[in-house]
Amino acid sequence: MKNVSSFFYRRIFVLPAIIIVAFALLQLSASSFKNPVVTAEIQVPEEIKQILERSCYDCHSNQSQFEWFDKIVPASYLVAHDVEVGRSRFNFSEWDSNPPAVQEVLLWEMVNAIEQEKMPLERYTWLHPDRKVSKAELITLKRYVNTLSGRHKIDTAKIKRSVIQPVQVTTNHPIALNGISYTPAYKNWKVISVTDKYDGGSMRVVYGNDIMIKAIKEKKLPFPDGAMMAKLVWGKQRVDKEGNTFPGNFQNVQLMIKDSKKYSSTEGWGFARFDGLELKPYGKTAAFEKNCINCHRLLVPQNDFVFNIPTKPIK
Amino acid sequence: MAPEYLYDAKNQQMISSSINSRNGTISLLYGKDETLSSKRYSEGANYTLVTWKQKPMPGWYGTNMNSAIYSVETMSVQPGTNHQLNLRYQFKTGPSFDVKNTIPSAKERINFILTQPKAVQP
Repeated sequence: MKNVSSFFYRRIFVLPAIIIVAFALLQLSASSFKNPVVTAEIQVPEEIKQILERSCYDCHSNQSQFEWFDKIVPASYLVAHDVEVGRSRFNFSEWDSNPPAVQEVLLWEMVNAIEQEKMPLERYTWLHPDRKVSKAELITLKRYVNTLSGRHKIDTAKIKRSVIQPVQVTTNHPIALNGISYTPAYKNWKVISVTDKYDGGSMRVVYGNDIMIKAIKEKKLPFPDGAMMAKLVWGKQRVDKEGNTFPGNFQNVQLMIKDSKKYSSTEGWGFARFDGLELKPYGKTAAFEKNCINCHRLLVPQNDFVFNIPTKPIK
Repeated sequence: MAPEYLYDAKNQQMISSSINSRNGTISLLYGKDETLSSKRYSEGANYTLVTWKQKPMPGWYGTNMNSAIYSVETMSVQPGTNHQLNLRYQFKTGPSFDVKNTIPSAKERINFILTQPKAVQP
């Protein structure tokens, strides 16, 4: 009887002791939380800065502030991961690594991510409830993005209608770095939406091929393989005296092609963009498509990652 | 999804789009492709001007897009008597057209269709 109970006591004390020691040893493996050098911090009005610092900087800057509980293994791995991903998307401490036009798009994207309650991440605000963005702060942010230059951009340049052809006219279509080829076939597709993208001063017409149109008519999501979209983007001319705005210069054409196997890493959509009348493939490396899908994935997962489909207004 | 917002322009192709911020509408002008390269006002020409009410794009604050159809205007140029051309114009209201809205003057609209420059498409 005595032997049994001593064995029992030994287990009661030894097991927790092992767990505690193991947990303590695990802490030694904790990733070090480092704040790299601030190279070019974002320049925004003070009231905007305060919101960004409190709600975004922990993951999107080199001025992250970590609480003691952020550093406990295994939770610390999740924190380190979120910070790494956050900084890679955009970093307020290295803000000039983005061209000015991209900076504006990122600020509009942030407003949308906050409005849709995708950001700050729920798992982050759960432990840091003071980092949530209030309704009043969102209104302040919205008011701010509406003061950015792209919001009021007018295309006053003379409209270029054709490219001066090089001597050797090629019949090959331009090909994006991820292998997607430009196609003029969209001209025979149907229009699925017409938009005024006032955040960047452009207007767009989006075409869908037969497979895309059929899926919309049948309200079928996700879109089937073979569905294709082409979005044509123009600048906006000055509003005339009747209140009309007409397309200015052609800016680019963007394609989305559904192939769930081939483009599985980007939610089944292949992206491409061809700039100017020369249709120059966009992007420096094939990784450009990551920029496309990051935003589509964050904001429109419910529409199979497509913004431009006809949808009922949200009440 | 709202497939009822789609408009099938059949064998016509897009000429241009336009935004009217005063009316909160957005439009597309379509034409029969063989007439696109010639003069707008020529025999056999057919045009359709589709106008939608604008609404904020769900999913992206910063963009307005077409919602329900406001009107569909059609115009055709047909041969008439004494080598004259006959111009037929029709204004049809769509689901988002309100009884309080006024139907614009035909003359104004014909002019709008005939003078709207073609959008540059590569």
